[in-house]
Amino acid sequence: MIITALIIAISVITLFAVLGLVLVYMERKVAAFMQIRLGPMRVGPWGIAQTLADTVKLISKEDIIPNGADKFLFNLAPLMVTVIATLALAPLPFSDKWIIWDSNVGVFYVAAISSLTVISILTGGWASNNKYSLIGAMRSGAQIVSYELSVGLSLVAMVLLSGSLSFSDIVMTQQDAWWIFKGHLPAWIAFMVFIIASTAELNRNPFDLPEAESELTAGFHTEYSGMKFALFMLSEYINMFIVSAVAATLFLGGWMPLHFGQDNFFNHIMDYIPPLVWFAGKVFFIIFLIMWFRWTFPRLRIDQLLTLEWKYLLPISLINVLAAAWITVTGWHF
Amino acid sequence: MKAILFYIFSVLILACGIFTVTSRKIYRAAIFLLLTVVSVAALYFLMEYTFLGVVQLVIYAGGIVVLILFAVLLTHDSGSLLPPLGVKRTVATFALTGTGLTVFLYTILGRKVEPGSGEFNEPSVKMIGGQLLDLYNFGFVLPFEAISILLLAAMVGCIVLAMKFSKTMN
Amino acid sequence: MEQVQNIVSDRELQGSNLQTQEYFINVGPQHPSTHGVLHLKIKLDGEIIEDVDPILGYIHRSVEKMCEKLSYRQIIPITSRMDYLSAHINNQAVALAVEKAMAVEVPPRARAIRILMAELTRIGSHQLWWGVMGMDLGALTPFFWGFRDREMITEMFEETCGTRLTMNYIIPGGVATDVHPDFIGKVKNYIRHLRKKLPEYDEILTGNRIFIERTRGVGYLSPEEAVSFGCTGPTARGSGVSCDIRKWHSYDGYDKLDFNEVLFNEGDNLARYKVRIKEIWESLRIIEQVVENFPEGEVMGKMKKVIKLPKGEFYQRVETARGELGVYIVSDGGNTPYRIKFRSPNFSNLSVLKKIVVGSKIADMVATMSTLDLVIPDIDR
Repeated sequence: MIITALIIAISVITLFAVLGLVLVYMERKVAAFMQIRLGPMRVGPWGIAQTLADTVKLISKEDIIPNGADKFLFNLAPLMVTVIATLALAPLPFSDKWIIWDSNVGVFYVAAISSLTVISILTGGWASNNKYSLIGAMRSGAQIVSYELSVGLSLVAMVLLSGSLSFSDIVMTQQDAWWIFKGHLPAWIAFMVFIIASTAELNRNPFDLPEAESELTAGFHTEYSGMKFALFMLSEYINMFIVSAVAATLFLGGWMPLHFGQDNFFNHIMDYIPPLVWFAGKVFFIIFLIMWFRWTFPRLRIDQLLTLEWKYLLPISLINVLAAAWITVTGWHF
Repeated sequence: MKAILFYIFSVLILACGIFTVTSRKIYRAAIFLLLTVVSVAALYFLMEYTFLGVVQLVIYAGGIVVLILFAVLLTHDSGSLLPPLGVKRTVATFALTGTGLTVFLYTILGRKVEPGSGEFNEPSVKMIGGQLLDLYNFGFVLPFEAISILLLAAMVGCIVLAMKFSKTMN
Repeated sequence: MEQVQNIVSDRELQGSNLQTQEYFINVGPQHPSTHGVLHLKIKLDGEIIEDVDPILGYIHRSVEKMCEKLSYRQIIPITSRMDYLSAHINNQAVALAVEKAMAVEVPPRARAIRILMAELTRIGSHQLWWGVMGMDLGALTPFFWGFRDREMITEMFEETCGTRLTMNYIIPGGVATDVHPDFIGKVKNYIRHLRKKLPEYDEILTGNRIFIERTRGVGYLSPEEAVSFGCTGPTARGSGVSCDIRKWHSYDGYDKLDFNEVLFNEGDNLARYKVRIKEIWESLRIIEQVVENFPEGEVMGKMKKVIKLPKGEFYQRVETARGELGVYIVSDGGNTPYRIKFRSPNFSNLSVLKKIVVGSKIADMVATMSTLDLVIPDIDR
């Protein structure tokens, strides 16, 4: 049992590092191509080793703790954000056999864990003893707490449709078609609300107010340098992966290949592509979508951000939950 | 393995609990409270009672601690040390907690505790939901509704507190 | 409901225990949104700005005092370093003032080159502003698109003037040298290129719902305030104040060209944004007309070796990319000015900041500052 735990721990940490490297590289390339640049090109062919070089740089940088900062909390915040991101990876099914913890309350668990992220951001912003950081932390708190509701409600809609809180059960319900195809209007609305609200929870553009470079320099992590800053960045990317994985699993079938109906020729062809590839493909598609937002949209203002949530997304998702319940009760979905 | 983890988390709960009360910085106290709450959730997970563990995380860690932190952030001068307790208060606190501890220990040590027999079957989410809204069979529909009304009252109170009346209305 | 009101008003009477506290933050001198070493001391109540106090002088180089010791030809390079995004137009202002004082006739080719350079400068400056505006609102892609198109202008300048930013090309009497043989062809190419690319600007930023929400109705500047604070350029024209020097006090033959003064009446950030985008189109029209009838001949009028201005006071105003630049020279008959004073557009435009951002949010202040299009070395000089 200890050996199993060790293997899992090592593979999760490896996954963490590799995902961080890949996603940062991907972000820079996506940004570069949207901005008619080439992006990193010097370190290795097509600059693929650039993020590795950056990691070495970040590790070797001086670790600065500002005067007047609460040292204990200042050091705790990046640690907390990383641990929370790791915890949320546990119940996600990577393929039909690869799942760390097949929990029967997986969806609920991920929602619960991701609600803890805000604590580390608040702590980091407060402990820095910097007004920009404090404003960033306050914005982040208001933002994450509000958008959690919409994320939760869109998850509830999908749980209603699939009738389970377990990720692997939800994937199995999509054997005949993905929920985005057979879920009708509630699934589409839930998908859109989920993508918008979780982008806000990730603090990414157009909802990157807690960092808001042009207003707050870097928001809650203004004072962080070196590896602690890197941990904040890393967990942001890991959270992006988790959000995309949840979206892919709930709406796009997770590792389930593209199926239509039962046991026909088309489904058998699709089954030749391994589940892991399906999963990765869907996840990276949604990650690309979120990156696309970042590099084309301006930022919202704080009151507009809250208006969007409380006046539009929340009522829409509340009605959507009712609609999903109605459809489930009457059995209109196939 | 389980025993080791149990002891680690128990120590965490106790240590963080003590730090929560003794820390003189309010923000640190809140963070220690968070660690206590998360460790309790970890114990639930260890007992494979995952649903309760997740509920613990959502309500205590994600809800209450975040609320406390917000309050601290909004307060002026929250970074300074709290004043130390006077002798009177210290004695009173020790007396109260001592009494509590004595009663507690007396109760559990006076009874024979036997390890549970057989497997623990976690109730499914469907069962919990059914029981929560059941009118008969010891259902919890009345407390559920009572809590709803309480929350509604709290919400109305919040709105009134936050509302700004224009001067012309008076 | 009345009871609730009573409770609330009671609380207010008791001096309310829900009081909030203001706090100060320093934006700048090193801050990404001030685009230079401007220092703003801001009093905040939560996110809302209660007071703004711009603190100047971090890049003061005492340009005016320096000029008193320099000959009129040597003043030109100094002016390039004031509003470095309108270097050509700054040079032109001094050149015009000196020519006016000495009553020198500038040959038509030099005048045409001056207009070309000035309008290209204006386009380049607006493109840079457009990119930075996007960046201030959180959209990073426009920045690179703007720089892509500005880069072509800078290359054309480099070919003719030898430098990319501080040109020192327009001098008293005309221009320093004739344009590069490829220049006219490249300008024609550039017009075609930009006419294709400008609609893309609208697609990525102007048409964006979030962008419109962020700018419409924000940072309102009434025409009366614009006039009383001495705002000029696109900042005032966004409030409907007609103040285009090229129209009102034409110089270097602008009066013979067909172009419109761009005016919007809304007075908010979106209006100031639209003015600048429209001005790029108008500048393209001007350039087109000049390029089509590009005169031949000399590029330098008859100037003495040593420039000496007659005794007296001379004033010349031009329209830079940011507004009205005035050059006021007092001469005692020597080869250096007795006193020189620059009326820079950015100083007046900055002064209005406090008026229009108090009561708005931090994010709005950043957006408003962006639409004022400040260049800090021009404020401090």
